[in-house]
Amino acid sequence: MAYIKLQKVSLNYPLYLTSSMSIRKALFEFFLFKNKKNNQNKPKHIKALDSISIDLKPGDKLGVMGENGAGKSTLLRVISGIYPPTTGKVKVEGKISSLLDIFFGVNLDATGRENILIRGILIGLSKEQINEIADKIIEFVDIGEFINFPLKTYSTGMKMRLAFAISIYITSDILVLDEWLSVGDKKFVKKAEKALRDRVSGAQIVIYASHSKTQIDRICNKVINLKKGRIVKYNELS
Amino acid sequence: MNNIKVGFDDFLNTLKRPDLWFYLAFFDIRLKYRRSYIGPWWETISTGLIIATLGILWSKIFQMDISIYLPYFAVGFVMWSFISSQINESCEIFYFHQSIILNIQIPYHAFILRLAFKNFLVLLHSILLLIPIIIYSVGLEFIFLFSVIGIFLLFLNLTFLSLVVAIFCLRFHDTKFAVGNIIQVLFFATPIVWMPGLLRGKSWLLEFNPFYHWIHIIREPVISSNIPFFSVTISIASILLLSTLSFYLLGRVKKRIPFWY
Repeated sequence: MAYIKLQKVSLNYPLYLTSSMSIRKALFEFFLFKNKKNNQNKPKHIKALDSISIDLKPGDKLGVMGENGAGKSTLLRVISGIYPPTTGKVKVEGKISSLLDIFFGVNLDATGRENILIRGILIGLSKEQINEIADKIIEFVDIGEFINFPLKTYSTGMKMRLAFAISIYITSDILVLDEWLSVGDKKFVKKAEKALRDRVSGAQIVIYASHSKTQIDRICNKVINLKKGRIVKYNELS
Repeated sequence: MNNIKVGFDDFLNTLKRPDLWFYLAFFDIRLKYRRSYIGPWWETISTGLIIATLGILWSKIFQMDISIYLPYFAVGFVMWSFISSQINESCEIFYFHQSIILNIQIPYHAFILRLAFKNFLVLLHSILLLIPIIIYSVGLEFIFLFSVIGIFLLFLNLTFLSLVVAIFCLRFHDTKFAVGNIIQVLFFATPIVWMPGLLRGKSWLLEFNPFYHWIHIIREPVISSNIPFFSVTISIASILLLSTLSFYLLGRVKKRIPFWY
């Protein structure tokens, strides 16, 4: 049974300044100023998440709202297991399909069909599994013969359709989406929302970060508002 | 110990998913040369050109018989091309796959092995160039099979070394300039162009250079038909050392890597 449980999760995000990313400087300080206290190589930290607790059961669709820099993407990355939390506990059960960066793993020289294969392999599908879903993806993307052309010949919209389709046609227990439905044109957003509702089975958990309240209202049944890494508001929608 | 285990588990998880490095490495080659008819043979042609011109020129400069010098230089140079492209490219490998690392959980060794296999496939093309050179000059004896084992040892050494290089290059952005520089210096410091006999007794210059041993175990069996046991020992020891070091280092920094972009 899929579930997500975050208990008082905090994340201190280390900011590496340019000067701390120089090996010349690091070696210099290591050998000559070993005991100096204000060592600039220590990264500065900002509190990106501040004791976040979330409890999601199968069927929950969580909307994450907040201004830029409120910690939405960081939260999604913690849930996806990319960022380890500084304190607190993250428990996630179930196969996650996350779409934080729409163009992840995309190769511009490869064709649309090949990109489906590449991303499928990265996510951990076998070639047979990929072939099974490839036709459905191609049908959804609906770009005709372009599917056999390299991705650099695509318009942004076509690339987005492809990336979106790959992510939602891969069966998973948990789907993590970072606000990019809002980037597409109206027609695509409509189609994507519909596909999302059709594809998302009752039991699946969806986490969707967005600026758009109307979109979240349409997709989600729970909403949190983030501000400076804290949950300032929690709503359950009917 | 715990760090080493984390790094080792990362390596094991990579081995369990061969599509990630074996299949995608083929893919990389195919994409890279998509728009040229002769594909990776371009690299073979340019390597062949360098071997032919410099091999002839330097055999004259060193006043050596071409049938002795050419196979010596050719084998060394081809192996060095493998070494230098693997190490140089590993500097950028984690930047290159940034979007993947920040999106899904994937073992870090997968990127390194994928790169190593890609370069290995290019190496295989160049090796076809070496076979006629060796047959015509020294003759191919059965002992050449030992060179195959040598290439395998080199492959492992390079894989573990390039993980260390990749981690340092990600954490410290200016490391890649140093790496490029060191590789260039090592090309001249390692007996590829010149022969060890020219050192006249200062053999410590060789013994402390692991790259010499890694190339020596491949070159010696085909050129002089004998197995350099000392260099084999060193190469195996360096695999153990480098793998432990790279596992430890990865285990130590694994959780921090996503923050380094």
